[in-house]
Order: sequence, then structure tokens, then C-alpha cells
Amino acid sequence: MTQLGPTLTDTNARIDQWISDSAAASTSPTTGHQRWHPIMSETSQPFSDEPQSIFTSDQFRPNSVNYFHLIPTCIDLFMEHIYPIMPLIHMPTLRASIARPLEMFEKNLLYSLCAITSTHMSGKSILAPGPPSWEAAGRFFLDECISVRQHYDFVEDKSLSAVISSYFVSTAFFELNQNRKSWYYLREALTMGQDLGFHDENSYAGLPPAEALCRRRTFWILYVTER
Amino acid sequence: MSLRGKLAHFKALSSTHTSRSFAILRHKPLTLQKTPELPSTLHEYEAPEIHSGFMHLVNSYHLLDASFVDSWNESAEAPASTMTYTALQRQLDLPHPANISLTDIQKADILVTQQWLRLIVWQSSMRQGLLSSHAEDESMTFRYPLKIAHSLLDVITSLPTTSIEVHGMGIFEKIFEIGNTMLDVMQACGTSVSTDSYGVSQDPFQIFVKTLSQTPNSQRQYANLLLAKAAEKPEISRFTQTLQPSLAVMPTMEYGMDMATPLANTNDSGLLAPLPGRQWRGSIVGEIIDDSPVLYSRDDDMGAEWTEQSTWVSGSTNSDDGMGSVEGVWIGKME
Repeated sequence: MTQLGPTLTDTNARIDQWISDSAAASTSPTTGHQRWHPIMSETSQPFSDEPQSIFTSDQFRPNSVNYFHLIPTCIDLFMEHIYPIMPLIHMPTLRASIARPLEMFEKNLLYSLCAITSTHMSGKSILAPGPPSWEAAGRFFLDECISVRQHYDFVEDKSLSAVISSYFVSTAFFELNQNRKSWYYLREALTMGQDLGFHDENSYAGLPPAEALCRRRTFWILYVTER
Repeated sequence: MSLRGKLAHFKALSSTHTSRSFAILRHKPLTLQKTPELPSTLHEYEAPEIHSGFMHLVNSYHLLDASFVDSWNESAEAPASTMTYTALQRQLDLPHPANISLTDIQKADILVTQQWLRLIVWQSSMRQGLLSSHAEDESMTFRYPLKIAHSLLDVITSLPTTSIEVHGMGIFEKIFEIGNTMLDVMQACGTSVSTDSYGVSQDPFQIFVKTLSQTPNSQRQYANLLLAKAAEKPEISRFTQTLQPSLAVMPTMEYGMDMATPLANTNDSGLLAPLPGRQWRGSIVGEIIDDSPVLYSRDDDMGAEWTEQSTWVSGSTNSDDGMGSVEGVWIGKME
């Protein structure tokens, strides 16, 4: 398989510099808000875990455990377990990026990657080195990702990373059994991908080969996911 | 309730959705129609199986084109024919070429998806009213999901558990759907069909439940549902015990799970604590005796429906497995 590249030691030094972009969002504006009662009730979803919040739970956690130290582990686990079925990201570029301060759009992708990875590591036989609860880590990164999106003009982020991150966010919410959000973010990814012309062969002309390959694969993953 | 009614009912119960199939299980219209060319290259840092695995997965879904999704969503102008379905099933039944190297993680995705797609195509043909108990093509019979379940069992037992677990809820849901439909068919068609036709090495039900218990979320959402459903059906408990006389029935199965209260009873780890009380409901009636066909009689509460609406289609008796068993199918009247 592919080599895992520079890992823990390179990046550990920088981990303590990660701070939460969501500190400012410490109180969820929607916590405790009035419940909206639609006329048509949602059909019985016996196991729905949908919160009344943009985050993964009703209580956003301003003082909760910080999982940023897991970022390098998540990248390695992603490469080992998830990448073979979702080879959408150019990994050398991503790995190089975490050694320096990141732009918002890069954090958006990175946190979504950590979220999807964490939410896929709960299996009894996986034995990935990590936190006691991978689900808690997954919720943390997902909340961080949602929060980053509130802190820059995400809608104008016309990058492949934005599309992939929405796909990852959709998949992570699916793992948490939050199906409405999962569906919403999948549609977001589809819409942004269409806007970038992923369905149109002409849009690939002149792109660097690595970028074109990532875009093509992203299109086909979305195509398959939608069916 | 007719067989089709029962199946449709359980279909409705289990109609959540899978991460890779929103249109099919949630009846959403498709947005992507026009497509660019397929990828044909690798990144310089990638092993070749990254590309081949990717293409395999895309190709399996590609079989389900827009017209299939339309007919699944019952928005097609002309319903699909038996020919269309049998052709699809034949394509889905093709073994994957062994010369292409894939990682176990890719295999799990591709092979489980393939079995699940067979089920989806079967369910679609059922809704079109195209199934019968003696169709020439096995894929057009009511019992076909048992065959799918055994294929899935082969897939699961041939792969390391980790390679299944890393896919998360998407793969667990597919396994659940197949297990769930298997139980419906076993109840409707009689369990003997399963033991006769496919040879029994392991009990698919036990393996499915074990696999579905590998993560806390999956256990809560799928394994417990499957156990609860089996606990409701005396024929199935019989099936499980007959197959695995040496193995104790899984501990949780000693208790009937009450479908209505599973969430209220979680412990710290988020796992369901076993509920006491509520033993297997109903008694096991109808004995399997060598060479003498005996019908299963039913519990009183079910009996009324079955005698009113069902006919017994007897088949041959088969004692190849040394047990002897009845082959035949209860067919509910179709409206």
C-alpha cells in the first residue's frame, strides 16, 4: 500500500498551537429555542438522534475535551482505512499543509476529514490507538468543522476542498444517525460540485492532472452516493 | 396479511437510508445525470488497487441507471419487465474477476454492496408484482433473499472483521436489510427452504447479529432490531437452535427484546442491557420428521390471517441433509 508519510513527530510540535475557532461560538444560539412543530409530523423515526442545533448535539461544548492532538493520527487512519474507498484528496498536499498555519478553507477540509475518520473507528476489532470514545472525537471535529464554516464565507468557497468537506460532513452525520443533516450536506456537496462543472467534461481541460483526477473521483463518488 | 403485504410492511419499517444510496432508499430524485469520463489514472503515490477498487464500486452502482431508479420510485412511465430484472440479477450475480487485486476494505465495500443491490432489485421486482413461487429464474421467486443472505454470509466470513467495521453504518445497514428480509422470507416461506437449498455451514442469522454488534451504534440500531424480530418468531428460534445445537444461543437472545422500549434501557456504554421477562413468544409447533411432510401450524393470533389468506404450495421432501424437511411455500393471496 501507500506509504504513510511524515507523521506524528513532524507535527506534534505544532499541535499545541491549535485553538478552537468555535470558542466565540460557545453559546449555541439555538440551545433551548422554541421547538418548531410542523403540521405534518415526521414519520416515526424510532432511532433518530437529530438535535435542535446546527452542531452534533443540543449543547455545544465550549469547555469540553480538546481532540486536536488526534489530527495526525486521524490522517494516518484515514489513509489506511478510508482512503481506499474514498480516494478523493491529494494526500501529499494535505500532509504538507498541516505543518503550517492553515487558512479557514483548509481547516474546513481537515476537520471534516478527522470527523469522518473518527466516526468510522468505533469497531470492536479495529483497535486504532486513540481516545476512549472515537464517537466523542468525531462529534468534536464535526462541530469544529461546522463552526469554521460560520467564520468565513463558505458559500463562496468554490474549491474542490469545499465539495469534499461537505461530502465528509454528510457521511459523518450519517454515522451519528443524524439523517436530515446528512442528506442536507450531501445535497450541498452535489450542488457545489455541479456549480464547479464536475459533470462537464470540458471543465477538466487545462487543470493540473492531480486536481483533475481528484475532481473526477469526487464526481463519481457523489454520483454513486446519490443513487 | 399477504406475503407481499408482510414484506412491504417490513420494508417500510426498515426504510432508513444508506450512506451510498439516498435515491433508492429515501426515494429522492436524482440530480446528477450528465457524467464526465471515468477516471483512468493514479496519483504517483497510490497503489494500483486504489484505482481498480474505485472503478469496481462505480460500476456496480452504474447498473442501476436512471430508469431503474424511476421504476423503484414508481415514477416510470412503463414498468420494468421480468426480463429487465433477471438481466440485472444475472449481472449482479457475476463473480468479480479474481485477477484484480483489491484491498480487503475495498472488497468488503464492493461485495456487500453487490449483495445488497441484488436485494434492492429483488424488492423492486416484488413491488411490480413479478414474483412467483415457481418462477423459472430463481431471482424471481419469493425465497431469493435466502440465497442472497447465504452469499452475504460467504462474503462476511471470507473477510477480516476490521475491513467491514471501518465502513461504518452504511455497510451495517446493508447487512441489516438483507438479514431483515431473510427473516421475513423465512417466516413466510418456512425455514426449511433455507436449510435445503444452500447447505448449512453457519447460521447466517447468528453471523449477521454478531457483525452488526461490532459498533455501539450498529448494535443499538440494527443488531437489537434483528434480535427482537427473531424473538417474535418461533419458527426462527427453532431454526437457529437446530442449526447450532452445540453453540449456546447468543446470550442476548435468551431475552425477547421489547421493540417499544429499547432506547430507555441503555447503560453507560450506550449498549442495551438485556431486558428480563418476555421469553420466546409462542411455542414451536410442527415437528420435522424424516420423510413425512408436516405443515407448520401457527400460533392462534397469526393463524386466522394465514388460513384465510394463504394457500400451501407443497413441494418435494428433501432429506439430503439427514434431517428431512418440508419444502413448500405459504403463498399469501395477491390482491
